[in-house]
Amino acid sequence: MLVFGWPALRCGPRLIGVHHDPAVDAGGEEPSDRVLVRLARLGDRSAFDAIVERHGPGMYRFALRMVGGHDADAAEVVQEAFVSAWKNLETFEARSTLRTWLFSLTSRRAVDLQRRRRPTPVDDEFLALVAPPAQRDPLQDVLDRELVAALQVALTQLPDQQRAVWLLREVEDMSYDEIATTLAITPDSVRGQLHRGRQNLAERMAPWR
Amino acid sequence: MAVDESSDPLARATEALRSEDDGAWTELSRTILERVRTLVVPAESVVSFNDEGETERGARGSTIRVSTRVLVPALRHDLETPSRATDAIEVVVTDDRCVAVKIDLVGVYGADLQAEGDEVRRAVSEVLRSALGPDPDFDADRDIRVSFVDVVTQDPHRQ
Repeated sequence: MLVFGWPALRCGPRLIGVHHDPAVDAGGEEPSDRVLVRLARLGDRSAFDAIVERHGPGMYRFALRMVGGHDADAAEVVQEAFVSAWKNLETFEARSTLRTWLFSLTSRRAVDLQRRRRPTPVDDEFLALVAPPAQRDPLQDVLDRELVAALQVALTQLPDQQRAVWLLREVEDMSYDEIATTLAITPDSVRGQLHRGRQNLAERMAPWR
Repeated sequence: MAVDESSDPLARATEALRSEDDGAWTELSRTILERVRTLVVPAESVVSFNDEGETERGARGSTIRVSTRVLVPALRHDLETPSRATDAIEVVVTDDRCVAVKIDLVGVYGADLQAEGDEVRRAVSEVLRSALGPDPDFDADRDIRVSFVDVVTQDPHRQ
């Protein structure tokens, strides 16, 4: 950091190297996430609008699957996540990307809402006892909509964290490290949860084969 | 999307999930933006000075105050150029007075940051004088701190 205190001048280490983080650069003419955060912190609401437009669809898709496919609940989760983001922009640190930070806000609110609606947590052992696979042969009338509905049912039966890990990896295409940052768990835990999530979902989707 | 019945059902369902349209998102985004616009940005009010450097005006000693919510965008507007972007602006208020302004900037690699810093200091001083009048205790040389917190290789307004 180069500080112009008048008349003294001080030079800090950040000027030595040129900071360039491609992970947060959107490329092209679009401002990077880092620029949008900077502008939003300065009170520029249009920058925050751009953040909402850029990351909102993914957050909504994630929230929708986290709360059992209920539109109204997903809308509530995403709205509260963005309100929290606006209020806490000052606390956002560049250690995480804007995307992982926003998804972490979404995840926490989705889990909170699920706990309010479903006070009994589901764990792996309990999971084995519920939701037996469908008995009918689905091959005759399988449609995307039914397939997604079946996956939603299967997802709902997963423990919250397992469901979040699976969605962030398989649908949102996040890396293990990004998921770990988003959910405040270790990358090893991400691997374990993902492995169990894939197994559980594969079992439950097997009748659709 | 047509379903490939020969593939793994979980993979098919996952693919269907990924390619789902945004559905209710467009309408929801409007609601979110409206809600955020109703949120008040924290701010402080800063007392202004008349040409004689006094805060009380007229026989009844009225005062005029300017919100930092007004000062910050005004400062940003006058500080930004193609070769520098504002990273943060802090208006320090003590006892209703603006006692310091801290400006963090992102510059372009290779630019003369010393000259940029001088220019920014002058611009801040002019904005404050225009918005708040002449505060006799405010010393621009002492109370305006300009810091380049980053330098980038391309457009600082995009990077």
